[in-house]
Amino acid sequence: MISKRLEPFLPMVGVLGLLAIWSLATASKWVDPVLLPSPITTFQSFWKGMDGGPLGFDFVKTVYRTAMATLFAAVIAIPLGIVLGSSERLYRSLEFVIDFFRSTPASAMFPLFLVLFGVGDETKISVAAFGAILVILFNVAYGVMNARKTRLLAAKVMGASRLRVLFDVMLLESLPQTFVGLRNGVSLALVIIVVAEMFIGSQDGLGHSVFEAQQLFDMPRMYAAIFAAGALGYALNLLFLVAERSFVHWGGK
Amino acid sequence: MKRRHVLSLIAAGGLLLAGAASPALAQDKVKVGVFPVSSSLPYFVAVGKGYFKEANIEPETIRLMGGPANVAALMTNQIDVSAVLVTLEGFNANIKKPGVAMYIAMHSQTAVYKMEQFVVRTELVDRVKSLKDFKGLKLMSAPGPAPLNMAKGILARIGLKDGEYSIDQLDMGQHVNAMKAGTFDGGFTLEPGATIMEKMGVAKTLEAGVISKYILGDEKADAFAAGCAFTTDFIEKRPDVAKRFAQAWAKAVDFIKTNPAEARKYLAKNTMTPDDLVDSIPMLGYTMVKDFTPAQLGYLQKYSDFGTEVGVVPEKIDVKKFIKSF
Repeated sequence: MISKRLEPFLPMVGVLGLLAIWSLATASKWVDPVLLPSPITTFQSFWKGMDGGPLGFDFVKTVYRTAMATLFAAVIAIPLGIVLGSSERLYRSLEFVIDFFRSTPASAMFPLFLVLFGVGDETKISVAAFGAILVILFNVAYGVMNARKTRLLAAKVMGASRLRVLFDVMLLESLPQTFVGLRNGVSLALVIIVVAEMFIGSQDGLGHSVFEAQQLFDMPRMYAAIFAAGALGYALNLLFLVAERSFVHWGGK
Repeated sequence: MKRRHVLSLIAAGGLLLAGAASPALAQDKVKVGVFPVSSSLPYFVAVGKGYFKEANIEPETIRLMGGPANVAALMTNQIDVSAVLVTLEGFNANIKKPGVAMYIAMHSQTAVYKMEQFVVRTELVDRVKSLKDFKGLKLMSAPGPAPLNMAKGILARIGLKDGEYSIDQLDMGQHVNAMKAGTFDGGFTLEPGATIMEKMGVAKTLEAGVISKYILGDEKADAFAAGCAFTTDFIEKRPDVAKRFAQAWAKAVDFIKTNPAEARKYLAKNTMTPDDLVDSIPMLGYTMVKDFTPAQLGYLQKYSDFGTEVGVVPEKIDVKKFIKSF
């Protein structure tokens, strides 16, 4: 049995394993060191880039775009999801459109958004928000639709109005599912932003950093930017997980 | 069918199979990374006209999009030849791993052999007469640090500073659409995008052959922006095969020069060039390294030095170290 005191360090097992395989692959030259630099070289490049270098600036730009995209998506998708979820007929009538666009790769939408918004932050943020909206909307609507019947019935029996049932019961009941949607939404927004920074006119951001380093065969810098993107995704997921635990502590079923 | 007919058919089939498996007929296999663009034309011609077959070579086409994929494949010896590799990208790779891309042939770009060019949206043609008129406009560039810095470098040479115009790099697939939608006022684009824009009436070429004129200082100077590269491993371990491959390539280059109209047809089925544009896509100045004049070698060195100046080639190199004559 693992001691309770060691449990918080469990996630490190995977990290150490990954670093061990990576070090072994480079030390034994399984992969050409020009194409896959050692973890030390990569982290030196990461540190140099973050400590006043261009990587820090690119990181901040990606954080800003992802946060904006998620914020817009949440502001639009949560109320819309509650409305759609409160009427199953309404949801079913729009289900095809939601599922259709939810299954469409956001990168395929780049040309359309480029034509609508031009280049610049508007396109990247709007296309990422578009992708995230559908994921959040879908989760919120299902959260509302699956609100526990006993609680709904209890509220109705006690004479609560339709509006009160919607806000005091359905909204709170949907919160756990809403957070699932937000966590998926922020991850998707980050992925779309990074891809957009790589392929649609960009002068900064982690995607641009990966693309430029790849073109210049500056592999330590490329892996440093990939690591920064991964770390950002992990941190954002953790942030929403902590927020979920604080807001939905009553959510146990 | 009678029994003896069946037996004779089986016997004939057996003989055919035996013939195909005979070592006397085995050809030397060469793995070739092919980026399906007009620069790879000599490869398509050599395959189509059977020049490789004549040289007893069986090329295996591996479609690889862009420089990084080709360089990674060259470095790991997954391919022996890159049918087309951007020169500055190849030189950069050679700094990281010397001899990974040895150029045997290069493709010149000039005002005649059009590839890179500045275009302007049709609505602005009356206002924008020269590159200087780009001041205050919104421009796009082919993606990657090499084209972007090239565009900025050219504009700097005519006196336009970064900030006096805006420039965003954009995936080549989006260039025509972005110009049509009016997202940009003009930009630094490549073929076949420029020809497509012109045909659609979306944009017009303001100036082509800009690397020659502004970077190399002579309108007629050959800007050797891309070429065919071998790995050192291939050259050293299979020198005879490498030589025959280069000879087949040279034969294709001769064919393109003497029969450009016929050679162009090979673009239609091998590249992303629309069929109706095949006859209007400009040709490049395909040249074997063995035929380089001292002046051409000088242009290549100057071009590489400019790459160093704008940070695409990290250090000054002697280009002679990365070319190979057959």
